[in-house]
This record gives sequence, structure tokens and C-alpha cells, in this order.
Amino acid sequence: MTITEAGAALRAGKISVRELADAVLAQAKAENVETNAYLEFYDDIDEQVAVAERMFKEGKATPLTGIPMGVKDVMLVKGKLVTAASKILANHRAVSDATAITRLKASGAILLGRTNMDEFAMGGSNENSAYGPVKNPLDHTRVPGGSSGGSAAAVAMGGAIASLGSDTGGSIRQPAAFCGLVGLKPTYGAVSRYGLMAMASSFDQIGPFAKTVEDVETIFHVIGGHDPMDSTSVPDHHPLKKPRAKKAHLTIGVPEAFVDRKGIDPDVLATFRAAMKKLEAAGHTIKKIELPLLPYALPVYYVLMQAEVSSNLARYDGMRYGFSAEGDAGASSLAPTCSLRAITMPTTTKRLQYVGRSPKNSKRRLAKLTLLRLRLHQPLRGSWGRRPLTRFRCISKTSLLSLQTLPEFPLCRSRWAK
Amino acid sequence: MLTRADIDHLAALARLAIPEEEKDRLVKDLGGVLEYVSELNELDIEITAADRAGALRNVMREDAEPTPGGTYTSAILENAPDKKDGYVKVRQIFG
Repeated sequence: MTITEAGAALRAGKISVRELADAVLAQAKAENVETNAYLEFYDDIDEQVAVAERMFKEGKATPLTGIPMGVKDVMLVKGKLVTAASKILANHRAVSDATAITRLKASGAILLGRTNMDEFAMGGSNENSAYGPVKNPLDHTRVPGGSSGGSAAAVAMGGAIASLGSDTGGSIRQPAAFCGLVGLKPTYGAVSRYGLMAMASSFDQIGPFAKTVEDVETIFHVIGGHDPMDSTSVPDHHPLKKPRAKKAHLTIGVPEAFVDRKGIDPDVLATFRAAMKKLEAAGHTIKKIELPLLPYALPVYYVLMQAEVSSNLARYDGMRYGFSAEGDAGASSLAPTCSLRAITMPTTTKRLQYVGRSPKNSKRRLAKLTLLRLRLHQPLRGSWGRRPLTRFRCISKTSLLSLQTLPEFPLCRSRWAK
Repeated sequence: MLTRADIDHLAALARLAIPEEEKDRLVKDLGGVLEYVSELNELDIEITAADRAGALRNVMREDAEPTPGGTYTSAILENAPDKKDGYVKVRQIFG
């Protein structure tokens, strides 16, 4: 069921908020035994249902009123545990709501619970959760993708009509692809990051998972918009936010060298080509383009992301919150936090922290890479680039770019394969 | 190339203790990551005066309307592993 369908049924009185919430929750609990998509089901669903029912009664219902949703365990929901799927934060309770959560609550959505993820949102398979891996509901021997694997699995297994995830370097888009859903990483600054536990602050964005583009758009309009609590949130009057006229026929740019290259699964390539054919048949124009700097995007991302992760995770030092290592009362603050962090953090997280701290990441080097990142962005911004690069002129002649999400299918390290 | 000494140094900076048996693997893994990103060195990125002026601008707000003291204190302290008299208690930093 989609948000559009469920909303219509609720408005028509064909189903009550209570019935919908109960049905989805029952499905979620039944499927969760096998998939491990949810880490916790909230205990205040009755109260949330009452709020949504009142909104319908008073004629204040929004498109999300009464829609059961899952929330990735990385954004704050006041009074609830929020652990980023880490043992370090096993008992951490949110002091306030993230802005996206405030807006969901105001819209009358029903938050069923918090969903599993790769620890601290780092990973692409959801095998790196401190609370056990998530299985792909479509095939239990495969991974759901990550890091928002729980949010994707929750929707794919019918345990939520939609959900929120967060995306730094693919953490919504990739699990959405693996679970057969629509996922959106909003443009940076479109959705407030206030109340989202930071991974790499200049990349992180909260975004929706749902079954249709329309549903994703509905959620995006609820959670998006300027928020004074996030200084990188884009003001609503920004020219980039001016709605663009919808064109009947689009020009779709395909960076061919990046699509058809070594390592791409032949089935993925065939599916991609078939999708392009369909778009062409629908009257759109497919145009091959070249993005010569694109191959550098991933190494640039790797360095910048890890430097930011290293800074952001330094806060889990067991002082203000989280796990604190037992130590001698008089021990230096420089010594003992370490042993415990080594126990609780999985290897991926540690590896990222090391790279972030590598002496090779000098300030100047990071400045240069930040610059390169801006140049990589420029062509994608069309005329918004401060100095449009002529070699990217091809971009301004296309309406959008199209790429495969990943070059291969969701594999898993067969840890649980039968 | 990375050495075990580099790993020890980085671990100390990150306040992480690493089991001995993991160190060799990390030398290899981290070396691989560094080698991968080193392909960026072939790019000649020139920083111009315009770049220094910056495409990014900081966003400031008026330092006004502070949250009244005590609004979140008890909820925040609830999450602290160690506390005393309304303060977060941490390990000794000097000597």
C-alpha cells in the first residue's frame, strides 16, 4: 500500500487510523523476527493514533496523517532511545526531536519504531550493526544494503508504509535499490540536519524511503524547508528552490564512460539500457555526455568523508553521553577511553577513524580536495556554478543525469546464507 | 607505506586500543585505502585568489534569545555516564 492509497482509504473512512496502524505493526512484528529491520517498536503508538484520529475529526489531516512510518535509529525522537546501532549509545535517550521528526509529528504520521542500520551510519550492507545484521525481505540470503538497511527493509516487508533514512554517500539510494523501493537523498541543505547524529556533516542528509516517487515527494515536502537550527539549511527564498516548469520532454544525460565500464554486472547494464529505452519511447531524449572528473569523485569523497567522520566521532568519548571505560579514578583523560571503544566499535568504524586522522590529511590537502569537490559539483548545478566550466557545457543542455545506482547486485558475505 | 608504528600513533590520537592481532590487517587495509585515494595526487589543483575568497559562506545568527538555564539540564545529565552536583564528571585532564 502506498501513502496515496492509504491516505485515500483513511479519508474515505474505508479504514481507520487504528486499523491501519495495527495491521502494519502486526506485519512489522511478524517479519521482524527474520529480518531484524526494527530495533525497537515505540510504546506510545496509541497516543500517536489518537492524535491522528483527532486531526481527521477536526479536518486538519495532512497527506501523512495516520501513515505508519519507521525512523532510522540515527535521528532524535524526544524521550526515545537513539543508539546509531552502537553499543556505545545503548542507553542514550534523545533530549529533543530532530526537525524532520518534529515535522512528521506535526503532520500526524505514526512513528512505529526505530530501524536498524550500520553502526554510526557507516557501511553499505547493514552487516555492521552492533545489534545484528538486517536481512533483505525479498531474499533472506541477501543484504538489504546500507547504511539505512532497516528503514528500507521495514518498507519492503510491509512493516511501514514509508520510512526515513539518512544518506551521506549512498545510504538511502543504495538500500532503496536493493529492496526495490524509491529512495531520495535530497540536495544538501534541503532538509534540516538538526537532530541527526552527524557522520560527515557536509554530506549528511535525511531523506525518505517509499514505494512510489509520488510518496517520496509527499514526505520530502513535509520534512524539507528552511530550519534556523541548521545553519546549512537553504533559505526558502533561495533561487535554487524556485519551482521549475515541468517539461513534457526531457533531455537525459548519460555519462556513458561511467555507466559501461569494468566491473558492471551485465544484468544491471541491461536493466539500465532497458530503462533508457522506455524513457526514449516516452518521448525523452537520451544524450551521451562526458564527465572527465567523475572518476575522481569517489577518492575525493573517501578522504573528505573520513576526515569529517574522524572529527564527528570524537564526541563518543564517554564524557557527556555514551559508554565510559572503567578506569582508575586518577587516570589521565588521554589514556583509558580507548580500550572500551575498541571493544564496541566495529572494524569499519575504526578504519574510518584512522584514515581520518592520517598525517597525510594535512590542512592544505583537505582544502584542495574541498575545492576539487566544489568543481565536481559545479557542472551539476548548471548555471549556478560561480564560474561555469566550459568543458562541462554538455550538462547545461540536459535536464537531468541518469546513472545506475550500483554496478552490481546485493551480495552478502554469506554469513547467514543457508 | 604504513607501518605498525603509524597504526600505534593513530590509535593513540583516536584513543583507541587495538588488539595486536588486528594491527597487521589494519596496516594492509589502511595501506590499500591510502593507495586508492593517492590517485588524486595526479590531479593538479591550483588554488586561485577567487577560490580563496571562497564559494562557501558562513551562516551566522544573532546571539540572542538564549534558552533559559536549566531547560534541558536534567535530561542531558541523564545521558552522562558520571555526574556530580549538576555537572558532568570527567577524568582528570592535568597531571
